Amino acid sequence: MRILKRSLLPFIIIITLGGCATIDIAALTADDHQYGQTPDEQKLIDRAVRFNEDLTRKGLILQNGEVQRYIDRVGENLVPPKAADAVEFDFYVFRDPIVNAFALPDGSIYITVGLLTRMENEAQLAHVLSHEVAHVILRHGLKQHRSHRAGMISSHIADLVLFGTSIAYIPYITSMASYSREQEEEADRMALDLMSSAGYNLASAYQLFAIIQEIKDTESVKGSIWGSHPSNAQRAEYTKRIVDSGAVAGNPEGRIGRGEYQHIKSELIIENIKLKLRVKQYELALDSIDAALKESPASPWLYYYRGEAYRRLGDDPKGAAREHAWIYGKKYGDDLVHEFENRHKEFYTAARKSYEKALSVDTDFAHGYRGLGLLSYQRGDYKVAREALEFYLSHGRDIRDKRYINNILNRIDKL
Amino acid sequence: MIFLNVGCALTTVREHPDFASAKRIVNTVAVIPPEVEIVRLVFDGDNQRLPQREREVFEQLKTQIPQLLKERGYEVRDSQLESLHEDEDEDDIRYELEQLKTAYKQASKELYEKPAVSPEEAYKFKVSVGPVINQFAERAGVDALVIVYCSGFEKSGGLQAKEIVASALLAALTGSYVVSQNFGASVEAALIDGTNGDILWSNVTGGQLSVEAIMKNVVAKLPEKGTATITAAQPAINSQPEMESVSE
Repeated sequence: MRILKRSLLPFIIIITLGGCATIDIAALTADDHQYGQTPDEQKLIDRAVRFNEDLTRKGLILQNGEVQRYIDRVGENLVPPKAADAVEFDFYVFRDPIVNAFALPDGSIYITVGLLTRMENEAQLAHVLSHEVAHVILRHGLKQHRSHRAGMISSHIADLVLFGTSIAYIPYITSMASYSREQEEEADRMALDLMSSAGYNLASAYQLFAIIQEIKDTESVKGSIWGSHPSNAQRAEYTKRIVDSGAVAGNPEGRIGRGEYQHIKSELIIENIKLKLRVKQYELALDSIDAALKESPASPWLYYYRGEAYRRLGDDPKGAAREHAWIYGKKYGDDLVHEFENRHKEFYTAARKSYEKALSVDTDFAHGYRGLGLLSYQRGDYKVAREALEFYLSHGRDIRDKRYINNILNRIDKL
Repeated sequence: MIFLNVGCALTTVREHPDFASAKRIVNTVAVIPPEVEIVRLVFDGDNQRLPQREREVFEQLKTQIPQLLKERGYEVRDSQLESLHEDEDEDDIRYELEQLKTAYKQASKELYEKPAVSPEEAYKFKVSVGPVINQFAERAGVDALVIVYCSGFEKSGGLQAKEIVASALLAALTGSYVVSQNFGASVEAALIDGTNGDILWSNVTGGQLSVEAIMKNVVAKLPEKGTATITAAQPAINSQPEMESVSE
């Protein structure tokens, strides 16, 4: 008997532990949800709080009053009162050019500048936020944690070659906000209910998937449900089926909210382009600029950044080759770098044209002179460089690179 | 065999040719608050940051780095960045600081595309973070800034036990026993020109030593103020500045 007991003990323990893991976790809309009352959930909440503190400390949360008020208004309107009683939902715009949104177990919901500039209207934003709110309500973070898959997913994603983002945060997101396919479907389904309750047009939800299907690999985090995810076509189909079946009471006249959304988006476009250039996404920055120029063809800033993207394509053939290889699935190596090196004249010509275009739109546009000056210096045209950079220093506002520019002017003097 | 190893000695140090030849001299420096990440690796893969330990290492590095730089002859000034953490109005500068760090991380990929290179190669690196550094150099009133990253790990008791069992099983099967490290750290440091963002010098090293000892080893390779690493016999190419220049 003793031997039997001893040999059965490991199995008894496994069965007991298995039982713990499969206890139902109530949604936050249930009466007895017991949110945050177990040590493991509290640990997840603490980790989420620390993560938010870290992002704030690093200035990675966008501080734009108008954008924040808008996101808060749209987001808070989607949260059912019972869930709002259980947890405080906070909505943040994350300064990152990748296309992503994620929710953490403490009710913090993040949407990147990259995703906000991709969407077309408020209803699409509402769908993304609803989906993330649903993850919190359904406590998918805790469920995933208990299923012991979080660690595996986290290490899997961390192993992937990541490109073009301030990626230090990725392991934390993936450990707290990586969900199974079933959970994603569950969140998609609940998102439609939340959108419907808030009076949005449901067709916008599946239209959103069509937009994000066009996203290139480089623009999204691997594994992000809002990125170039292979399941987006299926999600679109699934969502359309639910909407068409009438399973969710939708209003065909529901709110789309294009005008206000476009205004908010225009606040973020330059930010997104700057972020892309910072992480050496030159071609992707050009794509964003060209798209934005269709909406705002008289923006000197857009032409200026177009010039910057081309100038940096010329200056940085290695970075350009790396990005190109990633976008088009080509092999990165010396051949590709040479290809970009050989195109430097083409890039510099395009840069000059863009700066000149910026100055033709606004003859006093100081940054246009900055770009032209730096390009001319690079190309050995020191007279033009001097004039342009001096104009920039004397006419520019809030110049942060004065020391850099003065150093170049000193170098020109010594030539 | 020993001679061969010596002949092929590789280095993790990188230097800008102008700095290596003492063409560009740095007198005053400020240290950007170091980035520290210490993780406890646990049995189930749900690894945890150790904020208390990170804070201790941060405080230790904050005192140690200026001292090491002074020993190399540099005048060290306050970066004026410590108070950023508390001041909400400084959000933009916090963001710019993060952008500087991102720019360095990008540059570091280029610097360390090959982890170790020959000494001849080590003094030819012309990599820049661009003018994003200007405002920080202005703020501190220095010629150059020092940026430091420290990352480390500790293994939990459970993970250590698991690895001992795994090693014992491996030993039984193959006859060889693998001893894995229960803690470790690495430190990367760089000296960046405050005017044009050129990375003048960088080094990275790691191991099972204390962070303090690793830091000391890293900075030991920094040339003393005003001294040249390479001589006229090893000319350092031309001195056109790099033009990494995304700005507001």
